[in-house]
Amino acid sequence: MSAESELRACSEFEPLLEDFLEGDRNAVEAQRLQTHLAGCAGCSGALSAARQASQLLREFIEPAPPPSTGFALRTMNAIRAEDESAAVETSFWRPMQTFAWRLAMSAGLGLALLIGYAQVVTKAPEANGEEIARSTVPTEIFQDPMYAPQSREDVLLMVSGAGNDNK
Amino acid sequence: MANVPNSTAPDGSGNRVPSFRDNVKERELVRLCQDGTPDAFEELIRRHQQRIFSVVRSILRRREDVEDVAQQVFIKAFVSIRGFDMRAAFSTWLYKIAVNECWDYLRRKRVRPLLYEADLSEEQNQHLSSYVATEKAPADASKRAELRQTVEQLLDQLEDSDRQMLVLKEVEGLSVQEISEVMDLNINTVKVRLFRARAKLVEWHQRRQPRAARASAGKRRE
Repeated sequence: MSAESELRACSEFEPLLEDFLEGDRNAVEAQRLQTHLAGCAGCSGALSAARQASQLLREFIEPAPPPSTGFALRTMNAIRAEDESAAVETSFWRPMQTFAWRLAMSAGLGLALLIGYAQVVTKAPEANGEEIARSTVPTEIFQDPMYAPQSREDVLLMVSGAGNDNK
Repeated sequence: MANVPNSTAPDGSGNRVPSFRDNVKERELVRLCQDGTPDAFEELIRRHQQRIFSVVRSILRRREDVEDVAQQVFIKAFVSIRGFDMRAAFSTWLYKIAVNECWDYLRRKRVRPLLYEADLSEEQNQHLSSYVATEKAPADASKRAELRQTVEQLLDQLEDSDRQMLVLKEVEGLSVQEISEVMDLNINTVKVRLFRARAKLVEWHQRRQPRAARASAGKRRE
């Protein structure tokens, strides 16, 4: 029989073997298990292997470090800090505060734009006053007629005459 | 806001002295927390901190990260305690938060639980065999460290859940009942899986032993 098959316990007895290993022995079940162990190489091999494994683990694997002094207190402080910041975020005034901030920012931006625009408008004529003044004088294309036109033909003649004069 | 009597020493040393708060039932403490008494939660932390450290350690296997993750577990528990309906024990609920937090933490850090090289060297096998034969741990610190690493390597052959179960049982000292709560498994399933996981560890070691050593180990068992 190979070493591996020697370690295979009968599935029916596995929970009992675990109890047996832990020293939790119900008298009736223990008697039944002892009788079985005497005749079953798989179960007795597995029990012995399980004992070895337990010993190895207990001897060489270090348990978790104990909580450091004040762990509970530090955790409570962290909880309170989180609680406070959550309370600020969810308070009644929080949305209004956010709205007020946004309003103030928009108003500030609007005011800045307005001031900028006003400066451009008021400064521009000073810089190019003459040019602007010239450009605002309309060029007369049509002179005032000498007399009031009597018919459609008069109007056309006046217009064509004025056009020729301009050329 | 209701007050839970303080149980720290009057000299401010932080050492606990027994008080009637120790007798307050867990359900009562949970109810106080749900009604907005954070002091009651501090008592719950004190009662469960060691077990939570054990659960976290059994999954992460890195001692240095245990405290941070354990603290996060308690913060999450406090935040969601109003949703706890007390149908299960508080400890069961807390253990589940701990297990989820550990896996989230490992995902965030993008690491697997600490793993060791898969196979054992011949030398490691020999040292382990001689320990199994004599059942005497070496006094030399470096040899002990080497054996510890060998046992960790053997543990890595197990599935994550079996390894966690075994560490909780053998190293952290949790009962089968507690493990069944932590892992949300039937008690009989835990017993069977524990028993098989232990046998597997030794089986792996034996497979790597030379035939002669195996035969002599078999004789010793008889």
